[in-house]
Amino acid sequence: MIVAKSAGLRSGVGALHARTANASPAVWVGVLLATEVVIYVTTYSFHPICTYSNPLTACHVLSLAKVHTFTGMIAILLLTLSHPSLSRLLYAHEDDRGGWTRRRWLLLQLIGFAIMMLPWRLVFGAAISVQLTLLCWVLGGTLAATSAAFMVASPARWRTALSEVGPLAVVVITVGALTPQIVSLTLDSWNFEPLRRATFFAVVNCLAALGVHATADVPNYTLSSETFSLSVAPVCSGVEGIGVTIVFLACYFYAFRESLRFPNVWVLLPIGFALSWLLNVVRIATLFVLGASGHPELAVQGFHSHAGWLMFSILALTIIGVSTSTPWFQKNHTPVSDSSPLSADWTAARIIPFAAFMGAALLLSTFTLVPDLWYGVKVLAMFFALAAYLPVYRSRFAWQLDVFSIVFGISIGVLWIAFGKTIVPIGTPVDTALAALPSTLLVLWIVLRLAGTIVLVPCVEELFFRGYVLDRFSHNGLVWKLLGLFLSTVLFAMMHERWLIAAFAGALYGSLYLRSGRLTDSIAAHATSNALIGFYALANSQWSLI
Amino acid sequence: MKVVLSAGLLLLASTIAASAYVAAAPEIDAYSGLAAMGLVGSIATLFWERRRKQ
Repeated sequence: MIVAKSAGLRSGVGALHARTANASPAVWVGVLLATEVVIYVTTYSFHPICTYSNPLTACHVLSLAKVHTFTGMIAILLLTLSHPSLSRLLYAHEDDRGGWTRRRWLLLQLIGFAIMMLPWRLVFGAAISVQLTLLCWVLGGTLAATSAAFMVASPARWRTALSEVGPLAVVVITVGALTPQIVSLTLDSWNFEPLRRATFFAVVNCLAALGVHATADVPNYTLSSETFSLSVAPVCSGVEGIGVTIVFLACYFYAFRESLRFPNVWVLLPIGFALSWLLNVVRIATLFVLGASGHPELAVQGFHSHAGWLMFSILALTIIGVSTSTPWFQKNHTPVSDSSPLSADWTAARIIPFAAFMGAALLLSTFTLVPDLWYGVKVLAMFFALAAYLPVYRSRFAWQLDVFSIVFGISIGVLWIAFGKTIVPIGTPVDTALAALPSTLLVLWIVLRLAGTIVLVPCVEELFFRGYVLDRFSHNGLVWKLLGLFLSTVLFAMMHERWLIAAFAGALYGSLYLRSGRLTDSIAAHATSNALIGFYALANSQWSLI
Repeated sequence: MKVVLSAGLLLLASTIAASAYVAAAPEIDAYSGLAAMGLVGSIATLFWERRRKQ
């Protein structure tokens, strides 16, 4: 028995080592580069180069240099991912015999990154010239990027792969690096007069069909009523929506390329453009109706800034729904509805409550002036979405008190309050709106706010960010777990205005999940943090802290 | 084709970002954009996962 157990233990450790060792070097390098980018961006955001005693033009040059580098790097990444000769390198496993080892390239890579960070003011303690800064960035960046590439595959393999790509590599990288200049030259295309004219007349006809009186000043593209007027500016012509539609369809076609039938799906492009333009017309007409019917503030401050995203969401979800349920757009003829029931799907149980939360947030920001005042709508959306999957959660979750979860939760709560209580403004629109509420409604609002913050939001966010995103990466070795932790933390941080401390919280919640494999631990930690923050906000009437 | 699409995606994304910045377009609100991306992204992910399981 003892011999059998030892053999089993050795094979288990060996399997773990094999899983970790088999991870492509590209994953390690990707994690390293992503970390360095975050450090670089964060450092130069909090210590902007433009606070040095340099003239404004120098600041502009340095900012442009960063943008050119960024767009050039994105072009290189896209080229590598999309060209077979280069993407094969990402999955290569080479031994280190003959030539430089990966460790030496790693050392050079870190030296290159250190050179890029040299202009950081705290190192020198004095102002540094623009020329020296650019030199550090160019030299250090070239060394760091080249060394990182050679950590993935040897120079010989890169030479072979690039020779197969040919001059296309130079073209794509040059276009990528020069994207800011190309964008400047194409900006005039946003002033597409025929589209602006068509949009204006379409809005006029739409209002006429609805029986809404509006005086049209055609030369100035202005619509007026007795109390409200709006002007259809060039950027309102619908060209932005068409641009966003192209970006969405490109991402959608790429992500679903295995199941979509080409060339049939290309017809979704003109359909998407037409639908986007029509929804823009509806948006402008609705904006005018809202303003002319006695809600000018809502029209200008609320609806105007958010309706575009609502229309985009309607368009994107329509395209996804139609293309996945129409056999003509699918390679095989089995629509999604023929798979296991949605009501019992564990993936749906983790995703749909989050989608409901985001949908409610989008609707409230579009149709209300103070979205936080209508927090109860979000509570209802989250509650019903979670309630629909209660049997699934009951079968998966086994609650267990974990001291680490509570301690981590309290730590995050204390940090959030400590760093927020002085910077979060007092007397915000929601404070003003709450002060005007009758006491019964105020109590109801507080109950819903605390219930949502302490119970529902932790469940919804942990189910999606840790339960789905992190879990997706956590079954293929240490490197993939770290990648999943990084990705789930970044996505979680993006959803919060105070992104830095949210990132720290997300990393801790994710670590709890990876440590025990229990989602209930991260939910408990998140709920503990939010309880601390919620009751502090209640005690100090500082609801913007949440 | 993938390379062409990728390059086009990059140019368009940059163009949109530049336009939003230059025009200071009030109709592009960052947080609504994140909510929209969260909504569309999560639903698209759900469809992708259910397709993958088939």
